[in-house]
Amino acid sequence: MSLRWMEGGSRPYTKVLIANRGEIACRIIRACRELGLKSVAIHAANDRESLFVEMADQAVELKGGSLAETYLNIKQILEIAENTQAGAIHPGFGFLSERSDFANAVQSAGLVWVGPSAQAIESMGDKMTARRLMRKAGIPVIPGEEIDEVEEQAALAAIHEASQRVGLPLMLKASAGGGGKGMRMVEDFSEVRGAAMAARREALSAFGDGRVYVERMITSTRHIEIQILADSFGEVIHLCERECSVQRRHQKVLEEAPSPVVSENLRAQMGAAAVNAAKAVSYEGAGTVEFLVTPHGTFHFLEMNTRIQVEHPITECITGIDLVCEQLRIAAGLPLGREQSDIKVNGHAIEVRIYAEDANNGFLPAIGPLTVWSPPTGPGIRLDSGVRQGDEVTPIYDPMLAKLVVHASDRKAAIRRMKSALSEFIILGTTTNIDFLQDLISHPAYRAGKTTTDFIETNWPNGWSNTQTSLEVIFTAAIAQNSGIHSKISISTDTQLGDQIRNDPMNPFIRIGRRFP
Amino acid sequence: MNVMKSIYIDAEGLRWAVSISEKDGTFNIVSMQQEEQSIESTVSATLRKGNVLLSDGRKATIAKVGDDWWVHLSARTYRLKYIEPGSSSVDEVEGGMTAPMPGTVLEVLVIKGDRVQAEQHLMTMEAMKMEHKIVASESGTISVVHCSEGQKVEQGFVLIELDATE
Repeated sequence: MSLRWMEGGSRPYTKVLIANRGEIACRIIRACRELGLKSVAIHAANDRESLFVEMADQAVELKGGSLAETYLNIKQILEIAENTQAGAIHPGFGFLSERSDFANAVQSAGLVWVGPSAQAIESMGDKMTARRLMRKAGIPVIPGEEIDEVEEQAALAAIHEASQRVGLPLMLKASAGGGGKGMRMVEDFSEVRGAAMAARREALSAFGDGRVYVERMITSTRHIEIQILADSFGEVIHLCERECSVQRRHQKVLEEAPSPVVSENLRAQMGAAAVNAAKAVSYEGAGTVEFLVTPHGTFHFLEMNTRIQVEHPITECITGIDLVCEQLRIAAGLPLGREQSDIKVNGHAIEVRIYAEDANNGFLPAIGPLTVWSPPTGPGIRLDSGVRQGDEVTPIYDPMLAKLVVHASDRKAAIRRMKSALSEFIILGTTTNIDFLQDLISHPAYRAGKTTTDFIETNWPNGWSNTQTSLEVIFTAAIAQNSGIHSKISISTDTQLGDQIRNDPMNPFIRIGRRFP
Repeated sequence: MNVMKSIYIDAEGLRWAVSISEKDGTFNIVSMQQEEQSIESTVSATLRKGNVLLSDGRKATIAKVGDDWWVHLSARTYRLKYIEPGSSSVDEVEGGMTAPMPGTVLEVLVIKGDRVQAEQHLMTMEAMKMEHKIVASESGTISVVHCSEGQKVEQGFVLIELDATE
């Protein structure tokens, strides 16, 4: 049984195993369903009740408890692929998505790998190798030095020497890194050794590779990335930029497309550089080339992410192209079927990441039940989420709960739409960053498009704090306590449940009670 | 009219004593006090589908988890704590530094008896693969170390106590 859209593809398949979890697993399952492909979810025991497991056509539980035994267990995942007769594996992002040994193992097992070659992943995944390759391809990189020493004392000595030449302030970055892990900023030479040791240790624990290199810290920069698509015939196009400058702890919080500062000319230059970067590693599939852009409009290669990106929906909004579907088409061996001149920007899109975290308290991760989960809907509003009401947020996995995306005719309209959507979003039971995001989207500096990577520290130098609790809020809590609403809510097996509340189909607590007695 | 007994609510670390009354499904504030401060208000409210409808037309969505009330009002989310009558205090252990999130203790840099300066790095925790420094809340002498390297701790766990320098 073959699918019509796959005709002519050299690598046909009908069933996709998703080697991931949560929000991105849900996103991939939906794309598979639209394309007529069957989906197989794999999950750890603690994800048994999760949404993605419910959504997939088939779900298989992974044996073991730790991440290494479950979502990072290549052997077990391949066994499940064989048992379920999956023809292709989509790795999502995070986990095994940028592991060349996984890409190799999948292909050696005779399965279709939804992603670039192991060689491309390896070259780009090792940030030092990538810097060298890009330099060779004529793409500007951030001034800095690679450190080849592996042994700790030799590496620390080399980092120390290199830091003198690179100058302050500087960044120490894990060569195998990403997501802010194994990264340290250094503002004084006396801090280099301690910072290098901490970065190495964090890198070793997160990636199993402690190598760290030195880069000059460029301040007041913007983080702007180019989405590319490349097919197995060597054709590469770019899908314009995403502005991802607003970050906390080196992790993105808000992204938008197009960037408020990228001109047609700069877009063409950065797009060409991104296409060249992809060609330099014979890239295949969807990928993202990240750049730092200085206030003068010069740009430096930061890294290439050889996978689908968290913030891919905003590009989908403005180009009308479904990136996950494109990944699946390219993996089947089909040509792009589009040329650069076909890519047009339509309107403006913004994404915010809804994290379970306490913005009042240095953005530390928060946990708890999603007792009320009431997301916004309406024209131009998209929610990519892996949770639903009644779920529990645990410290085991990433604290990102959902991505709220809006699309409108221009930036101003998109900001208004996001503001409205956030004000409608109710999450109770777990602390989230929604209130912070509302202040962020309404901030005059944001509205003026003055987004740089230090935006949050610059605009909230003493940290952010929420609106003061008003007397009405305290009054509301007192009514709840006195009228006993809350006890009727929390004790779902309670026979004293008031008839009025019991019979109210709109009462969200009733629904929670059913799911979580 | 039914006047209900006073209850205590912690909002942003401030302890409020609140007394409300109810008549025909409408709630009013009888008194609302925080230390010497007393608030007067004519706002009233009714219950609507398990939520609270204020007399100014705004609707609050509420949920209770443990001793905490979660209130969503005017697009903002608040977390308040109900204080059981007779409970002594909601204060944290004095001079104690607590785990800001659940995680693992990575390294402990001090031992009992060490003299430390305010903001000095005392230990490192790891959660969700990120490292977090635990620093001294004030200058003083370490009196107790409650954890060791590799130990898993819950949020709010008292990690270290210190006697502040007079």
